[in-house]
This record gives sequence, structure tokens and C-alpha cells, in this order.
Amino acid sequence: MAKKKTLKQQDFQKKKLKVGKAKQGPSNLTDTSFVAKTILLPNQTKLSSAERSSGTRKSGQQELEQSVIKRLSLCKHHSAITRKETLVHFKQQVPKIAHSGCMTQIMHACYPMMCDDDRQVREALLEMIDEVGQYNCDVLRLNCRAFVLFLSSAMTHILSPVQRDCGKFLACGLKYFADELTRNSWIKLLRGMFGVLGWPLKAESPERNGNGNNGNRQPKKSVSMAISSASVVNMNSARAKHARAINIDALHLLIKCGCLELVMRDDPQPDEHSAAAHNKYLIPECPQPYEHLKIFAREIQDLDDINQSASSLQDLVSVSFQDASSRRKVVLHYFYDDIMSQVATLIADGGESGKSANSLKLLMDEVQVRESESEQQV
Amino acid sequence: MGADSIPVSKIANLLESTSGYEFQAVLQSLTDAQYVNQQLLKSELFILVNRVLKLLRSGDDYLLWKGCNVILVLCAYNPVILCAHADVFLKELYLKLEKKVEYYSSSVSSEQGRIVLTNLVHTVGYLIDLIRGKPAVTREVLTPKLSAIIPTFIKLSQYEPRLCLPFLKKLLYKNTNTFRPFVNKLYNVLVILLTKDYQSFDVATKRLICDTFAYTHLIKLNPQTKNSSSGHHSVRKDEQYRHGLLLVLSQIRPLITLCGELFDFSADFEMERLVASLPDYQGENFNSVGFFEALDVDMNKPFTLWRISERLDVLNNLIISFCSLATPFAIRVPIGGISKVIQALLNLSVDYLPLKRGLRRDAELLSVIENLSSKMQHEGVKLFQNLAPIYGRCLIPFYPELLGSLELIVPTRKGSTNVDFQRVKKIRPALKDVFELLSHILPAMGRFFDDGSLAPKLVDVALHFTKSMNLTLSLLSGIDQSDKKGGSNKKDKKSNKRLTGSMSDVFSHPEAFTIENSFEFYAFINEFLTTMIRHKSIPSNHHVKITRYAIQNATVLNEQLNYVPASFRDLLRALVLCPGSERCSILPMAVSLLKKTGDELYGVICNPRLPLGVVHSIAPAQLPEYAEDQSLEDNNASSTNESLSLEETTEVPATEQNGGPDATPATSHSQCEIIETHVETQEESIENELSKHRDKIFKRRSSDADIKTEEVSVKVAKVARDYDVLEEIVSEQIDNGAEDTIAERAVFVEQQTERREADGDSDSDFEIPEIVLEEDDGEDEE
Repeated sequence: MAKKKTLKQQDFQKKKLKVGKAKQGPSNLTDTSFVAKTILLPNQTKLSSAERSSGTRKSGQQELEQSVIKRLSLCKHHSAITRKETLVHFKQQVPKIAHSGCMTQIMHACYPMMCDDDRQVREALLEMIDEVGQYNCDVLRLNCRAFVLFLSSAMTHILSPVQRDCGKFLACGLKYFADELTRNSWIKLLRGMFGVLGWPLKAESPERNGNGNNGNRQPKKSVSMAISSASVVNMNSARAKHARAINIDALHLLIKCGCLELVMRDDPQPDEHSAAAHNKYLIPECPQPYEHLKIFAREIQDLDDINQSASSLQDLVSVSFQDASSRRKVVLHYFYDDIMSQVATLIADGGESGKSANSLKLLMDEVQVRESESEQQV
Repeated sequence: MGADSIPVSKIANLLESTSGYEFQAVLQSLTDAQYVNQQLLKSELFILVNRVLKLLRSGDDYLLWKGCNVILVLCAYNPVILCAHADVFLKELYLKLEKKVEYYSSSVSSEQGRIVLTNLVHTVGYLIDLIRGKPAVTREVLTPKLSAIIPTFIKLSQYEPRLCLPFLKKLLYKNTNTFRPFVNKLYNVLVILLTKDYQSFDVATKRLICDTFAYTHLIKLNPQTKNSSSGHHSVRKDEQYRHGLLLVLSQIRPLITLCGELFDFSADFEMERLVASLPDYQGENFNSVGFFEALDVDMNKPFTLWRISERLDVLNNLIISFCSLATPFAIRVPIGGISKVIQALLNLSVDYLPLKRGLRRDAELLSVIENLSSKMQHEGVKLFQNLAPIYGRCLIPFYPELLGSLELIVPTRKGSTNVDFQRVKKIRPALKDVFELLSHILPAMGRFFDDGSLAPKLVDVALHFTKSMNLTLSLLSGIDQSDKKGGSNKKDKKSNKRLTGSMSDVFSHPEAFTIENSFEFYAFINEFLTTMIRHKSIPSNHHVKITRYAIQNATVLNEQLNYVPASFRDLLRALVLCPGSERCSILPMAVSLLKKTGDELYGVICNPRLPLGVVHSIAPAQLPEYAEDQSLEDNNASSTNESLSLEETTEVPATEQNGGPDATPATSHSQCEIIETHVETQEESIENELSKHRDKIFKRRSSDADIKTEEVSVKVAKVARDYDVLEEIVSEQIDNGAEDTIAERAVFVEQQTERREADGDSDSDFEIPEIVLEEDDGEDEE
């Protein structure tokens, strides 16, 4: 029998631990567990449309817009067929609603489908973007950042089919708003395309001894998921090769638009976007003309560069590439060697990829010529 | 003596007793032109002069002081007194001065004595200046006395260089011959000042000493021993002067060679070549015995290394004086040698020159060497900076090398070309001088020089400087490592507290420890950035950074001060006018920032308008062809095919029909919008349309064409449907400017006139109605 303990000693007694049972918690323990539940209401419309329906008269246009908005939630449907149908429906509606205000919402809802698993959904999205571009490419320009965001997430996606389709989206984007794309996200897109094509970048490795030439050390390669073990089996399939040719073409187009200052489309309309007609003191044609100045954005400032950045290319992410000259310089400095080495092997292989690779090689030579010309001019 | 002015005798009586306000009033009244009267000489003015002399001869300091001032005022404003009595005045003043100088230490023991001495010297100096231009007075008064005055001045300048040297300098320059016997003495005095006490003087005095030293070389001291072989060559006037300059210049080479003990010049072939080619005038006819003593530098005592840069500072100032002073004869300056010196100094950079192998690598020595090298580079920049304004154009052939060396002054991180901002802070004064230098030479350089990475680096540095310095940064960043110690005892904590004081402020209020930049500094940086933007094509990244800096700071300052400082206004203007590779200029932002004060430049860009007189001055005879050309040009612009069809050419008149009543010259944008709309073709003849709207077309054309031919060509571009010929011409028009646009238009007009005639439309319908400009102007302004 235990001795009877005084009150004071009882305070300091510890409970015995029992085998197989958890330790007893302190007496002031608060239980913070909770149960979460979700409710799906598939038949309810979006709340925002309720505001619009409060108007007395609805024109046909407004009805159309509302019906389109109602369908936006279908973009996240679990069934791929539903998603595809939604996209096709949107594409059909585009001619009528291309200039309306709901286009931004639609684009924001549709862009995530660039990373969609299903191939048909992606194809439908591509066609829809193409259609939108033909009727109103300003919407695309306005949402350029969202486009780049999802495109770059697609470029680094773990599923290789998603990666392979990037080139098509990039080409489509370049067709309609090459100016914005190249100005705002030059490095990002270039690196992304290199990742998609599976080409390693020497410049990715951190420079420790500071020599630009890393020939002596093994560079840390930027591994692209396109050559992950799961997809090694179908690396040489016809589809993969075709996709590779398309991606090389997309890279070719990207470099051409960025470095050679060409106009993309020949408009039947008066060419408002060409540099010739563009007067810098008139009201600007492009949306958000001062976005690149980042006046209201707070940038993370490294404290007097105490920490050196991981790679030299990482430094360049914060550099703005508004003029073609600096874009050319970056391409020639960081990417040229890698491109040339990869392209040589591809040309030797021949086929579709070989042809695209060859045109890319010629393009790079032209860029070099153009850069040396512009240097002489200056 | 008129009724207005105070009688002179009364003033004379007053002089001894007045003081303070009364004295000032008396002095003012003495400037009266009434007193310039030769008849007064014998009587009134004689009394006055005697009184003044009495003041001078008295022993009282205050009376002496009054006397000096009265003399100055009288002589300055009264030529009669000057010519008649300057002799006496000068003699008395000189006597007093001599006495004061002889007992120098007692004269300056009190503040009063010092002031009196200063006053005396000034008075003598100014009196000499006043006498100088007048030949008769000079001959009689000055020349005999100068030989007495000058030695006194020289003697005094030993103690009071700041006081005496300006006058000595002037005397050397203007009265060179009179000075000749005394120049050696002055030379010795200056040598002592240069070698012993130079660094204890302020900047102005240092400059004075060097200037006077340079001027002592105006006088030929030692006649050159002429060689029999070269005796027939005439001796140039600047021989002595040049001799002095070369002597100083050749002192620099040993200094840099001394630095070769610290740095390993053999590692850099260029540097070796440069050092070998530094000016060294050891040839014949040259006594290169310098007056500087040998430097005493000991590597075991690293701080003695600073004597090198101290010596270099003196030599630098001497060179600048020699090269920048006005001389009565032309001088031959060895620009090439000086440029080599600048380059050699700039190349002493720790980043690019390795240290010598055998050096002891301890922290003290290394840090002093780094410090020394940045000081030497600064000296190089100073030399460049002072010579560039004077010899700017002559230095242009050397610019590529000089600017290449200038790039080395920006410290870079080890192994890369990125700027090392921590070291940049240390050499802030040097970089400030670099900015000033570049602001000066950039406008003259043009686009021929491609100095690669100098411009972007300096822009980065400049923008870095604009951020306020936070002194506690290093403390804050190290905070993670220091507080990992375990808990300490109470005793330890107390002793720690005593040692460290109250450091909590550093961590809780780091913003209280920042050093803000002054306005002048901002103005400085802005001037540099403005010059950079105007005259260099900088990469877009830096352009964007500058734009952002300008807009943010201008906005902040506008809110705080209610106006935008002038330097920011200039920077904004430069950014608006030179938008670089941006798609659209920051004109709207600049206009809204400067709304209160307004800016004429933006006014002209936003609302282009004709000056009022121009419209009325067009001669009537010129009108018909002009109108015809314009109307044809309208048709040409609207032509869709090379083969004209009448229907299509009606588009433009139709659009202008829409745009005519509404369009004003200013709203080019609305014009463009109107033209974009698709217009149905019309069956009517063009002529009717044109004749209806002739006036309006002509009005608009005339105003547009004069001011903004660009706008017209923009309109042309927008009206033109995709046709290669037109597009090319349009793009050329935009690029080339007004003259070319008219030329192109004329060419096009000629082509089209042929076709128009082929159409068979007669010219009868093209009769231009009389244009009455006044009425139209009134309509136009509505």
C-alpha cells in the first residue's frame, strides 16, 4: 500500500506510463482537431452573374455573356470530355463575344488547361486561343502574364505529353503577341524551351571560380523531365519526333521574333502594331505600357549582393529585355553554344527534326550577323 | 562743391572721431562725383588728404584701419585724388606694412591686429591694381615703389600665404619684369610651402600656392647655355615655363616605379609598356634636380605608404596649375605624356594587377595597399577631370585609351565583371569625380566611341548611390550567427551590458542610423544620368532602372516639397525626349508630375501649334501649287492600287469629310481613328468633294505640315492599305524626318500627276478659290 502522500507531494507525482497506451496529456490540454467537409453544388450558377441579372433589360449580347460565364465552372470538370465540349463551345462563341468584357474571365479560366492531362482538351484549347487571336488579339496581350505563367508550368510539367505540346502554344502566342512575350519573359521562355527539348544549359551551373568557361568542370546539367525514365520508352515514337520538330520550330520562331525585330502578322487592317507606324508620343497601342518599369512593384533586394546567386542565368531574371539588342546579346552569350552543339547532332540524324534544326542553325547565324551589324552602327 | 554734397572740410574733421554707422555713411558719401573737381585740390581735398595721412600715421589700430578704408574709397571713386595723391598714400601704407611685417608675431597676437594686417595688405594690393592701368601714374608712382613692396609681400607670404599670394600672383603676371630680382626668393618660399606644410592648407590655398609656383616660371631665371650647334635656334618664350612643367612631370615616373615594388607589373604587358613610356626628361638642356626630397617609405610600417599618394597629390596640383593658368605667351603642353601618366595611374587597380610575390601578406599591408591604389586612381581621375575642360578637343585622340583605363576604377567582384558595391562605397569621392568628368566629355564624344561596359557599370553605381546608406546593415545581417549562445549567468550578462552599452537601438530602429543623400548630391547624380541618356545609347535594362528611379523620386519629392527639383525636371525631360527602346515614352507621367509648374517642352509636344506670325506670312503666289500638291497627295495616299481607280480615291476625301469639321491640328489621334473606319466608295467625282473641302484640307495640311510632318506621315501610313511601295516610303518617311518626307512626297506627286493627266480630267475643276486667311484662322481656332 502506498503511503498516503501530502497534498504538496501529490502535485509532483507523475502518472505511470502504460504499455500500448499513449502518454496522458496535461490537464489543460485543448483539443484542436476538426472535421472538414466539402459540399458540391453542381447546379448552382456563379454568384457574380446574380448581380448582372438584376438589370431590367437583357440584350442578346448580355444573355450570351451570361451563359458563357455560367459555363466557366465546367472548365474544372472532372471529365475530360466535358472540358473539351466547353472549350469547343467557347470557340464557337468567340466571334460574338470577342470584344466583350467577359473575355478576360474566360481566358483566365481556360489557361490552366494548358497543363491538362488530356490531349484533346489541349488541342481544343489551342484552337480556341487561335480563334480568339484572330478576332481580338488585345485580349491575349492583356493576359500575357497569365499565359506565360501557365505555359512555363506546362514546360516544367512532370507529364511529358504536356511538355511536348508547349511548343504549339508558344507558337500560337508568338503569332499574336510576340512583342509582349519577348519583352517580358525572354529568359523564362528560352530556358523553358530548352527544358522541353531536353537540352542542357551550361550557364545554369553556378560560377564558383568565376570563369565564364566551365570546360574543366562537369557542369551541373539542367535536367529536363522530358527524358525521365518513364518516357524513355517512347522517346523515339513518331509522335515524339513530330513534337520535337514542332518544339524546335517554336524555339526558332521565338528567337526570330525576339532577336530580329520582325513583324509577325501581315494585317489586312492598317498595321497598327508595326514599329513604323508606332509613334511613341501618341496614345500607346499596347496595353499596360509602363508595366515593365515596375514602379509599384517591390522587388526583393539582396542585401548588397551578400549571397551570390545560384547561377548566372538566375541573375538575368530581373533584368528587363525591352530592346532587341540586349536580347540578342543574351542569346549569343548564354545559349548559342548549347544550341549549336545540339543542333549538329539533330541535323546529322535527319528527318523532320533535322530540317527544323537546320533552319534554327541558319537563324542563329543570322542573329550573329545582325548583332555585329548593330554593334558597328553604335 | 554743390549744395547736395557734404562739404569736404566737414568730413575731414569728422574722420577721426566717427565709428560704426556714421563711418559707413561717411564712406558712402565720399563716393560722390561732386568731389571730382580739380579746383578743390588745393583747398578742400588737400585738407582731407592730410587728415587721412594723420590717421595712417597714428599708432592706433582702429584709426589705421579707418584710414585704409577711406583711402580705398577715395582712390576708387575719385580720379583726381588718385592721380594727385596716390604717391603719398602708397608710401605711407607701405611704411606701415613694413613695420607690421617686421614685428609679425606681435602684430597678429590679437584679433584686431590680424584684421588690421589683412586690411593693410588688401589696401596696398587694391591700390596697386587701381594705379596699374594708368601709364603716367604707374611710371611715377608704382614702378619705383614696387621693388620695395614686393620683398615685403614675399616675406609676409611665408606666414600668410592665403593673404598675400593672390597679389603676388597678379604681380608676377602683370609686372613680370619688375619682379625679376625677387623671383628666387619667392621660389624658395614656395618650395618650403610645398614640401613642408602643403597638406595643412585648405583647398583654395593649395591651389594658390601651386598657381604662384607656376607663375614664377614666367620669368627666365637662368639663361640657357646655348650650344654652339643649336645657337641659331631662337629661344622660345615658354622655355622656362615648360622646363618647370616637365620637371614636375618627370617626378611622377619614379613614384609609379616605386609602386612597382608593391604590384607585379610584369604580369601585365600593357602596364609595363605604359610605365616604360612615362615622360622622363633626362635629356640635355635639362636640369632635373627636383626640389622634393626623397620619399621615405618603409614596408614594415605600412602607413608610410600613404606618403606616396601625398606626394602625388602635390605633383598633380602643380601639373594642373601649369596647364590651366593663363600665360602671356603660348605654351607647349606635353599632352601625350600627361595622358600616359593618367593611364598609368588609373591602371593601378588591385583587381587587375597582382601583388608582388615576395610581399608579406598580412592584413595591414594588404589593406593599405588597396587603399593606396584607390587613392592613386583618384589622383589620375582628378588630373583628367581638371584637364578635360581646358584641353577637351585636344585630348580626343587619347579618349579610347583613357576611357578604357577609366573603367578600371570601378571595383569589381573577384573574377567576374559585376560591380562590387561594398567597395564602391569606399571610393565614393573618386566616383563622384568620374561622374563629373563624364558629364563634361560625353556631349563632345559623339557615338564614335564604343566604350562597352563603362556606361552600364557607372549607371549601376550612380543608382546605387542614390539609395540612402544604412549604417547598421552589416550588424543586422549578422544577427543570426551571434545569438546562438546559450544562456549566460547573471554576472556575465551584467558585465556584457556594461561593455556593449545600449545596443538595442541598432536593432529596433535601424532606420534612425541611415545617412540620407543631400540635394546637391542628387543634383549631381541626376546631371550625370541626364548626360548619359542624352548622349549614349544604354541598354534597356539600365534605361528602365533610371526611368524608375526618376519617376519614383520625383513623385516622392513632389509630395514632400510641393515642387519637383530642377535636376529631376531635367532628367525627366531627357527621358521624355530620348525614350530609347521603349514602346511609349513617359510623357503622360512627366506631364502629370509637372502639372503645377508646367513645362514648355511638354506643352509643345502635347499641343503642337503654329507660331502666330507664320500663317500670315505665306505669300499668295505659293498657294495654288501647294494646295494642288496636297490634294494630289491625299489621293495618292489613299490609292489602293498602283493603277488608280477613281472610286477608291474618294475614300480619303470622304474620310476627311467626316473628319473635316471636327478635326483640329492637335488631335491627330482622332484623325487617325476616323481614317481607320472603312469607307464606302462613292460614285461622285473627286473634284466636287475636293472643291468643297479644299479650304479645310488646306488649313489642316498647312498647320500639320509645318509642325508635325510626322503626324501626316503617320496618317499616310494608316490610310495606306498593305502595299509594299507605300509601306516602304512610309517607313522611310518616319525615319528620315521632314526634309525627306517632302522629297518623297514630291516624287510620288510627280508619278501620280502623270497618271492624273492620263485620266483626262481637266484642270478646270481644280481652280482654287481665293483663300482668305483671317476668316479661316478664326474658324480653325474654334
